[in-house]
Amino acid sequence: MVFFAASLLLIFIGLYAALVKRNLIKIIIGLSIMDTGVNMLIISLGFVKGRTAPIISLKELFKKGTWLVDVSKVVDPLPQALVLTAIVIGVAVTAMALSVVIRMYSVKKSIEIDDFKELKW
Amino acid sequence: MVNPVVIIAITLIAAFSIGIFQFLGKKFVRGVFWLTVLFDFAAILSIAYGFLTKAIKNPIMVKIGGFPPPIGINLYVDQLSAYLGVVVFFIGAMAAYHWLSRGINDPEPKALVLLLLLLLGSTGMIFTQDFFNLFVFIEITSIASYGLVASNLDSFSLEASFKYIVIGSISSTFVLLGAVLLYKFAGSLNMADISAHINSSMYSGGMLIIISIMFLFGLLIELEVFPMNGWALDIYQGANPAVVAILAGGIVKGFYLVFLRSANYLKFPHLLKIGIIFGLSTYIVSQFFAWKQKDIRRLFGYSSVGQLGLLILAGAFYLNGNLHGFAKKYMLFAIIFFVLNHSFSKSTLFFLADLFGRRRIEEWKGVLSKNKLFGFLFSTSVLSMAGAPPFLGFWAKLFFILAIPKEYFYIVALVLIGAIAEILYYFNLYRIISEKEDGIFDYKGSIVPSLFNVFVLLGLSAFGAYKFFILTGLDIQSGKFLAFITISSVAVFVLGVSRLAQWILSLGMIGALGFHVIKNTSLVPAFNIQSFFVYLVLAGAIMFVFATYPLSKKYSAVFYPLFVFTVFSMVGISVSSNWITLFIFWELMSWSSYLLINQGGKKAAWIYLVMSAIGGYGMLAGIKLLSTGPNLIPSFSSSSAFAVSAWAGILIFTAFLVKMGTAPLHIWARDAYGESPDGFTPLLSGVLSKMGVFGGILTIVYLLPHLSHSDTILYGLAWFGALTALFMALLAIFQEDVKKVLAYSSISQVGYILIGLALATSLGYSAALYHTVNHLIFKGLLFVAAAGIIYRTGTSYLPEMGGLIRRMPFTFLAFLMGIITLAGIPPLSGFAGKWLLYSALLEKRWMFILLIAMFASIVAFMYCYKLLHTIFLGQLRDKYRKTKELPLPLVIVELVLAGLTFAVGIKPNLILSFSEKAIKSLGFTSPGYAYESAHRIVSKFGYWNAYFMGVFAVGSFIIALILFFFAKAKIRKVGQLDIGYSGEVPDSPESVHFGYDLYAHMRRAVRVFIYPHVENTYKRIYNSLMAFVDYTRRFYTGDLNTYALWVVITLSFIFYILYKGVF
Amino acid sequence: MWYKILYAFLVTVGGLAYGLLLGGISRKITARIHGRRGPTVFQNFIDLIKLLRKKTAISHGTMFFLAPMFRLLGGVGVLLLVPIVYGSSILSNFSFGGDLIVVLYFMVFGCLGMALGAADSGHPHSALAPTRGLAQMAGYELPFLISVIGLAIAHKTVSISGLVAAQQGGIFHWNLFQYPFLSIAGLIAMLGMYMAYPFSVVMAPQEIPVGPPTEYSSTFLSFMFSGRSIFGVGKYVLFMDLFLGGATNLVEAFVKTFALFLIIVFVTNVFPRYRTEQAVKFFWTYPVVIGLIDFIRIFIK
Repeated sequence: MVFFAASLLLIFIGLYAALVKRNLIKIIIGLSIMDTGVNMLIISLGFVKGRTAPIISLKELFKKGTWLVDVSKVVDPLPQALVLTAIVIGVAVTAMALSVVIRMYSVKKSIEIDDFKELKW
Repeated sequence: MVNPVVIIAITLIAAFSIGIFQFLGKKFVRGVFWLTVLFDFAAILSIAYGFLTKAIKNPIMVKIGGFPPPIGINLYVDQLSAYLGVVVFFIGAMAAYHWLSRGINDPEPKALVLLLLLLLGSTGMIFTQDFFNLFVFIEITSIASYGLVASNLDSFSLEASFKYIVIGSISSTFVLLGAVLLYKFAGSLNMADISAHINSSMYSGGMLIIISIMFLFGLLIELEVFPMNGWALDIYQGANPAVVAILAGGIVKGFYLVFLRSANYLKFPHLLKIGIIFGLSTYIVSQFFAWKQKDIRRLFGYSSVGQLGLLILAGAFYLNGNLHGFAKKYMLFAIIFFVLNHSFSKSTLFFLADLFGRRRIEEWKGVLSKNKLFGFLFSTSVLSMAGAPPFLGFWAKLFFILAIPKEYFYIVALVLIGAIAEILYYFNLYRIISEKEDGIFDYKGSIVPSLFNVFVLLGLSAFGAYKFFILTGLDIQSGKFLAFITISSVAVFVLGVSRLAQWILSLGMIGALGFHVIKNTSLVPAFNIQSFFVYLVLAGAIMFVFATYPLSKKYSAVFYPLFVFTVFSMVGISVSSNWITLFIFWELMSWSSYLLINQGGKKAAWIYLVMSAIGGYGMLAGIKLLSTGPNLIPSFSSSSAFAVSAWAGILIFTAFLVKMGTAPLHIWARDAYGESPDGFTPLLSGVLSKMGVFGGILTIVYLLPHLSHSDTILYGLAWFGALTALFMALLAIFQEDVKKVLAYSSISQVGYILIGLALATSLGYSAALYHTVNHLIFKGLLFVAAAGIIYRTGTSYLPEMGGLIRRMPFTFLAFLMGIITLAGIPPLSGFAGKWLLYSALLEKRWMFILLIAMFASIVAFMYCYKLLHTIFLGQLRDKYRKTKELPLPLVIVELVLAGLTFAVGIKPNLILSFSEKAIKSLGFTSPGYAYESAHRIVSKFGYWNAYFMGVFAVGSFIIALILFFFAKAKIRKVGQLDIGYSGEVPDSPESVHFGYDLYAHMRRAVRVFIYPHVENTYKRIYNSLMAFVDYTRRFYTGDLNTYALWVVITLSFIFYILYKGVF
Repeated sequence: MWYKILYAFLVTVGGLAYGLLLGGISRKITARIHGRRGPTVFQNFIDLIKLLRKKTAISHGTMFFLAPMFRLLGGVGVLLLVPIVYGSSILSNFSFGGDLIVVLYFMVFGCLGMALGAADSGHPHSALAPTRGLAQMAGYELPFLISVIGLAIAHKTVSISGLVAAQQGGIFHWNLFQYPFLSIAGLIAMLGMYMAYPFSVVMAPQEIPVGPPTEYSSTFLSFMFSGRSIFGVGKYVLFMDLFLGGATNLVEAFVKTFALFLIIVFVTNVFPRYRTEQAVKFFWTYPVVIGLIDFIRIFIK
């Protein structure tokens, strides 16, 4: 529940940045925060208290002599797989956004929203 | 058939190999790109073909990695996604071709990689069966679009891209949230699996509703719904049109399919209401905001957004609208056709916008006339976008309107209002583009993709028409006739190498159809009201088309094809057997005549089109009110089965009143008549306005008796007719342009016909039908003569003419007879119409109407005299001393018509015998008058012997002439300036010709009546709407924060209404 | 049939003579009012003979040439289409040709011809006159139509003989007394129809020499002159039939038409002239309001 609330908070902080920040970089930071919030939420969804990560370590393998993991002792692995993808995508989006901002800066020598309001009405 | 996953894999590999091996050179990169695209296209086409030919019966299910569905990710390709895939790849390929032909200023390989990724992402999006996978593909699509949107690297595209990134990220965040929460809730991500496990009862305030809100919200952002679509409009305006073409033409449709599928699988609660709220508001708002748009790309953007709104509405109805049977099928086809129409025509428009390169609409002036091919492509796409028949957009709209349940009539009304708004701005643009302007037209890039698009669009239009007639089960005769119309006008265009050839072809085709109608009774079984109008149309058309040849040299090559099209669609109207076919042919007539008028006055044509649209869509709304039950097509005769509100009749009648030019719907008429090509005006006045009469008769006979308040409606119509007759006659007096005088005269005369219809007695119909034919004769005569006079003198301005009787004696004779007929003076044919009408009015005791009608005909004498005097009498100007008599075809037509008016004047039976049969076919036993002897016609109030009057007039005229000759001979003709002028000899004809403002004195008496109240009211409404729109469209501030704010507000709104369950 | 034509010819000649005579009397009365001796009452006969004896030398064009024919024809037509004596098959002339509507429209025939001829002469004043005439016509026709339509609806017929028949049986059956307001409106319209002062701007001898016939002379003028005279008589007969109960014999017809003639003459000589738009406005207000009283009475009946 804490995770849930915290990730929602992060999402809303990100949204807030997109709503009020006039600086393009700050907006991108906001988007990243939002992303982080979502990722945290995903992880928290798969989390089961008192269980371990769904990872096969070599130590375990040698100790037990089998690949199989006791399902009742690990958290849900799927959200973790999902979050990896989500992180990658988030990074890609951020990278894309930053490169666009760089181009924008080179065109107008500014990264303020007020200088990018030509398209309207 | 290829495994769909191969498409995704190949594309992915190709994209990366381009990225890695781009050092191998441009040829390699392009080669890989084209190979991939072609392969993908071929693959997906083979699947689609499989579905089409029913070789593949069930949707294709691909298990990736061999895991069965709930565990592994799988792809799911059904008919719709396969077809959509074809469209996406086709548009993608076209856009890529277009872009490459224009030259990509960004490093080319990067752009191609992004393009491939975009296509890959959207294909995946369409095919996937897994919610998380969906998110991934959406993200791939989005990131590729971000890059492509920015690819111009100027401030516009970068700005658009950044806005897209921010809003798009919010959207995908919510889709992702939805996906993971769904996993938490259902324990699965597989769509089918989840769908099987949820039902609507789970929605009562639980987790599922939040999940559906997340999905709905994320997808609605991507679907550019109001008020979250500022970013989308900025992309349409700012990004490279090639990219925009793919986005609008392909990718958004992918999102749309995703929306439909998610809605279907997740069983979104209240989808219908959400669809109505967002779809309708998006549609209406964007259609109106586009009015004030100066940037052509943003204008197209507004239109695209509007179309998406319509799609959302249609989708909501399809999934959640309780449609059954026919309606569900219609709606599905509406959706398919909307998608196809928008994809192909809008991408063409963006291509063309890019080829020409200019943004501001004013800079597009004259483009149509400068490059014919460009003009053709542009016109076709715009026509289809605006829903003109027989293009695809029309069938889509028709299916849509038919499918909407009747209890949602307000949606029909609003959608049609939006459609009128759409026509208004699209054809304002078209008006500017078709303006005549000299100069060289140059564009950079290849026109081939646009050509391909339009080619496909035309094919699809034919398919759409076919599907429409098959599905609705309309009489197949009409469908065939529609094909015949199209083919014959195309034939006139293609085979007509010169104007002469076109003229002969048009004559031949109209003649052949006439011959066919007379010979073959299958089209017109027994002589009835319909065949009356078929003959009227064909007879009028053949005469008027015959007269056009001398004038045709200055007309463009589409004049005759459109002429034939208009004529044949009028025949179609006359033979149609139910309201829907009537509407289809009605629209065909309106649009083709619009294009013809547009050959002359552009502004006039625009007003004509907008008024026609108001009328036509009014009729469609009325038809919608009529249709109930499983059979959605109301036929004329089955109208009686329904008890419907009076509004149905009134709405249907609007269309006819518009064409008749009845006040206050007349504002188009003066300029459209006045400025249309001279060869077309006779048809417009003589025949086209009579289609309103035909429709009016149908409505009054078949529909009105079943409506409430039908007597009130009829009496109201009579008043409209009378006031039109009077005020248009008054306005005609003060016009100084020959065709505008005749224009007002025309609608004034049609006002009489309307009175006759509104009487709804057999004598009233007799009067109306007689006057219909008679008006064709004399107004055709006058307009043909006017056309010839304008041709010879080069002016239509009355004060410029004068004295032409000396140069054109035959034309004068014919014109004089036309005027005498118009004035209704015995013994020519005009009087009979007046007599019948007045007798009918007396019989019905409509005294005030009678007073106004008779008074209007007195007023008409004024302009009658004005025409005769200012054109033919008075002083001949020096510059016309060598002017010749009109060209032979015109003189022939004039004299034939003059002979007709004389013959009919003496023997009204020539027309009355036909109208009697037509009236009897309407269920009346007598025409309302009787023959006391062979020539003496008697009504309840009076009598009249046409033959005697003719013989009397002619005989006494001859006697007077003999007397005169007997009395005196040897008369010398003197020069025109040799007049008693205070002992002076005037020096120039201009100084003594009385030709300008003949009724200045009268104007002082009637000033308040001729002030253009109605026109100014329209202008005021239009201007205030414009101002309102101009103010409200500032809603799109261009500020990213505001856009984000609206996104959040909408989220709260959706959350509020869905979670709180406000519905 | 042939004897009918013969009688028609006699009626025409008689009508012409009567019309010329009335014209002469009018001139005489006017002169007396002015305190002059005035011409003889036969002055118009003399004028006509003079005009006929003159040689026509010039023509301005085809319509100029044909116009007098139209004018004469229009006048004769109206006279012959209106039944003069009720119940007499001979003196009903050609009224079997058409009802009141036919007559109303045929009345325009001659005017149109004259207007065209005038316009063809090339003289600007000649063309100005018809425009004034037509404008004024739009003025007086409104009250006239009110009375005609009112009477037609009231008596359920538009046949002139039918209207006369409905007024038989004593002086109080006349429309003048049955429908006094309609009749007043109609008679005011008659003043306009005869272009009598104050509605004489059409001919307007001061501003535009003599209106439409400016360029006409000799035989042409004689035709127009006689056409006008006959037309005048025809209209008197029409008004007599409409409002004064028609006539059962020729003497009654003479008396009644002469009474109508006297109304016009006396009004003419005491009024100044209206401008066109003033005349139009006048006709559209007072007589219309008066006429509408009866009109509405009939409408709601």
